[in-house]
Amino acid sequence: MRHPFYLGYGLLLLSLCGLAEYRGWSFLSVSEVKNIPKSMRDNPGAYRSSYGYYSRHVGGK
Amino acid sequence: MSAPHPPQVKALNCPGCGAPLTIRGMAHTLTVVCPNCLSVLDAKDPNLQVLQQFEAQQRFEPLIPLGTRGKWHGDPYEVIGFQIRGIEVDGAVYTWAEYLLFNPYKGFRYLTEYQGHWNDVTVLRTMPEVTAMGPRPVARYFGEVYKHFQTAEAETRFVLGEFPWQVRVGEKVTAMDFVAPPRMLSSETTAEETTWSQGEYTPAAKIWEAFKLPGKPAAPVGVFENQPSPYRGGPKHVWLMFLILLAALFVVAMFTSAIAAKQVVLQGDYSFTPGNTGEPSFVTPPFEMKGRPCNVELSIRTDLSNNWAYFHLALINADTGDAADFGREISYYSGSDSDGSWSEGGPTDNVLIPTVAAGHYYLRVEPEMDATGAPMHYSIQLRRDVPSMSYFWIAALLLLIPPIFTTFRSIIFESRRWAESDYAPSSD
Repeated sequence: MRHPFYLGYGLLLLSLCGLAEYRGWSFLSVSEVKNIPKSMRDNPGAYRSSYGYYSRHVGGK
Repeated sequence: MSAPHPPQVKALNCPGCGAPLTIRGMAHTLTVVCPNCLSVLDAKDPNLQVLQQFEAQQRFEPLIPLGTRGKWHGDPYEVIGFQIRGIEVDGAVYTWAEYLLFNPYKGFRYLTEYQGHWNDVTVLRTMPEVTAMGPRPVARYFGEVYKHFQTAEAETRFVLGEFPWQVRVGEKVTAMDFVAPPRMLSSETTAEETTWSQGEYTPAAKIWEAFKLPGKPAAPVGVFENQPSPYRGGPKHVWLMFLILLAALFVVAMFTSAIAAKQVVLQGDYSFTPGNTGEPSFVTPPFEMKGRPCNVELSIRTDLSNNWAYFHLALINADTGDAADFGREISYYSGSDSDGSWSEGGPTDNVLIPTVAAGHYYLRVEPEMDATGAPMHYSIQLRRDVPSMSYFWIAALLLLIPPIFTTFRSIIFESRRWAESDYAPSSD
């Protein structure tokens, strides 16, 4: 085997890809929020998103 | 078959200075150099006639002392001669050392050394074929093509010991080197003859071990003309392995894509009127996700045009009360101007929520828009266990790093090798 380190590196990448796919990893940044009360279903407005509230400059060219 | 006799040594004295001389090469020795006064003597003359008296400006000590014996290529050899030769290029003198090895049954061979680079050299009995390949001559020998490296006038600058030819300090030959690492061919041409030899790059440690030399050899300096590249076979083997790994990556990607469930767990159509005083947020009906923890793809499709919307989203596990909270912006603008039509963004969005465990879930959605904007209709779909190719693309890019790095290093190594040749970029 001429390039054992490259082979090992490649197999590691392959394994990580397979694991990422199997476990469902994603690059999306989410905030984990714990213990949301069941009453939230009846009053969704009581929940405040951890992403705050949005104010945007109107886009366009 | 009788056992070979041990090499015999003949003891004489220098007629010039009286220093004792030792002749190890027996009948093969034509000239012998006095180790004391450095006179070159005729070994065939019973009176050891002085052929050349030489006042050496600099005395060189061989790294392998004369008389050293060792087993080389399975046969015993003795170092009987040592010479320093040099070439002058652009006013700079480059010298190398040559050690003459002798075995009475096998004959002569040489070890050469230049700045810690060693070659094991034998004289050829058949002539290589020299032809032109483009602007550069090549030598062909037993099917192997050697590229021309350098032509220079080599001068003998120092001699010590015995030689099977009429050695003289100041003797000049035209030397041509052709390389096919780890081997090289060298021709030495005088007015009378051309001699070809083949050298093979040899690790110094192997010589030290064979001749049981004390200490450790000096580390090689720079890149020698026939030094084998540490990137054996060049970068092509690395690129071949890259293709194999890429194919394996493709197979893994196809396999994971094929076995992914891609199961729709939520589908709904909604609308949002900005500026409405009602509560904008709502929750979807609960839905169940089964199976192993996996990703969940959220797709939002809107009818936005020259407008934007922001979605506050939370995927809430009804069983545990844990939520994955995130936000997505969708904006789509288009039009035309003097440059033609243009567009920016898009009315849809897809995102993967990472590693969602099995359980009962609902989605909280809170759209937000500019208060003066037009109403928006949109749909939301959630699918679990969706194949994502992004990791495979990243892996393919990461797989590229070693071949690119190796190619780059190999190019640098070869450019350092050829920088010392007649074909260096700066050579005329």
